[in-house]
Amino acid sequence: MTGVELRSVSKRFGKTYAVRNVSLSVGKGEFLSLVGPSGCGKTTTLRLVAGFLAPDEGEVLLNGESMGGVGVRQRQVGIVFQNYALFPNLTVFENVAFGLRTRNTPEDILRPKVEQLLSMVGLDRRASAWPRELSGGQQQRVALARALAITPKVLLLDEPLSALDAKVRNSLRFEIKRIQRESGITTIYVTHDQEEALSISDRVALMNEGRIEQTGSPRDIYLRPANSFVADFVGVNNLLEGEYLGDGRFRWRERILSVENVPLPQGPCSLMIRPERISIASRDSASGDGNILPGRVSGKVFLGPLLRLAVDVEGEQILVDLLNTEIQPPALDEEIRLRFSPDDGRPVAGR
Amino acid sequence: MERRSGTWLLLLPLAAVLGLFLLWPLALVLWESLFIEGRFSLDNYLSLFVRKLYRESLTTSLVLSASTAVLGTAVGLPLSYFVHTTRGRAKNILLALTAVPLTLSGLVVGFAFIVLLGTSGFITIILRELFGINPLEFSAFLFTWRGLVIAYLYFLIPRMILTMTAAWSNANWSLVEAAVSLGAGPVTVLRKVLFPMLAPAILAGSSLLFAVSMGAFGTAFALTGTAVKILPLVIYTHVSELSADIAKADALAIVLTLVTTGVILAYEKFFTSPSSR
Repeated sequence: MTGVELRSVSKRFGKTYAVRNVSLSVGKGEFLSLVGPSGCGKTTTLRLVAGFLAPDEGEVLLNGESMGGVGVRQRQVGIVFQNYALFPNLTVFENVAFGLRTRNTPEDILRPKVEQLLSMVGLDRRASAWPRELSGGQQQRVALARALAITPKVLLLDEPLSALDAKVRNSLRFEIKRIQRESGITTIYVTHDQEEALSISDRVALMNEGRIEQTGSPRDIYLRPANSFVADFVGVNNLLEGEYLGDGRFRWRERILSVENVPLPQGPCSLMIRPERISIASRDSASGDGNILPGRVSGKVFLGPLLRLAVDVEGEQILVDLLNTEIQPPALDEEIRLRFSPDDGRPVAGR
Repeated sequence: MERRSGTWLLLLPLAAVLGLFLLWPLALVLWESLFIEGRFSLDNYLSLFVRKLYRESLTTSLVLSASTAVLGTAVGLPLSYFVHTTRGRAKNILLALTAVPLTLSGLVVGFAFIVLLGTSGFITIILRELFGINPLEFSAFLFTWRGLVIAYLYFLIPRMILTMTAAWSNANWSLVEAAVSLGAGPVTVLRKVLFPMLAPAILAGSSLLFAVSMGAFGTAFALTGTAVKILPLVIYTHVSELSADIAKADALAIVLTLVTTGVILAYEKFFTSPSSR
């Protein structure tokens, strides 16, 4: 059974489509991320599910029931906002209790429930604090507990970590994931951060210009992007414009490279090569079944575990990630030979 | 060290202006009100509570200002929301129109009301022709303190609108969305979210309205001469007429200043941090 389903949903603002013919289904208890550049329609999609917006075409279903004509108030969705949106005039306890009080929950049920939620997010000792006395990360935990208090059919998170600094962001990311797994609530998570989306989700839907470009597991999206937009958006990538000749052969400039044999029609397309899949070939080694690209080191960035090289190959800049354990990395302006195996060059369709 | 003395230098012009044009005159007024023929005395102040004229004028001023503050807030609040939700050119036009009454002299406002609602005013004549009302009875209202409430509202409502328009655009609407998603109905949203969120701005606006109408002079003077006894007009009669009593006027001015400053201070004390109680 599906927790959330969108059937050919479109939403226009004036004449422009914010969401265009989107179909998506999220399984019960599944954690799905909507990711894409700003203005891609991910937040609009979330607001359509929440009921703040009504679709112009199509239908939104929660737990198999159509939500046509059902307002936000009746939908029983838990929402976590980017700016926390805690009620400043209510204590932490009363914030979490808010949704239970509107449902006239008796005190003897409400109190243990709120306490249990607060201890789940590790804030049981701050129940009587005011929101402004808490750090950003703590406020967002309260917001999460508040959204879960109404036992929502679906939990909607709209860029919940974007206002936090990097360290808090990382720890809270795992905590959201843990709480979601324990509570088993269907979750839609909106973010512009592909790394966040890949690390937290069961499945990722990548949006662009109001459409879904690709839906799949983080691993799928990363390793087998459906097109050059996805390949470009997810992770750091080298994309070479050329022509697929079929049968695992790709023409780039004057060279014929041997690449992954994919079921793509012959013709212009992009070749995706992950920086971490490229290595430096020793000066005299034979190419074997790999591809060799000679170039000159034009830049070096130290990234902790990795050393990222920018290599100029016939005027095209190719990024190469080396583990920082490498003995003696190449110097700036050194002439080197890059090598990648056919399996690591993946032709992807243009858009 | 150098930086600190530099800061003080920069503050000098402001301090000079405030000292020369605010503190010094105020000190003079206070001095004159406290010394009768060179001897310290509170007689000027005591008489304010004894003489009927002074008691009445203080009461009338307070009632007038409280009424305009309440009515101005009640009318200005929904109007400000309307201005806030208007978009584009229309919003700019509305905001410009709102600012116009603020630029008019109080005297002009007073005469405008006479021209409209006076005994031979435009609207009065129309009403007489249509419904046969008695112009004298109809416009007598204008020259009482209740008439002043109407006239004051003309330049007070725009102040409320401008204060609240800023508040509306700073409002955190995701609080309302959060409340609705948690099942709150319109009444709960109003009571638990919107009102607490806007209360500081509403109180700031109505304190401003109160303080402005305590001190307003031109409109009242144009409409009623000195017939309605309110503090500013009583002060005026004490400094201008043959029976001039500068010391009493000084004492009244000090009381007026205390009341308006008190309202603003009370606002600062209680409402700058809404959840710190």
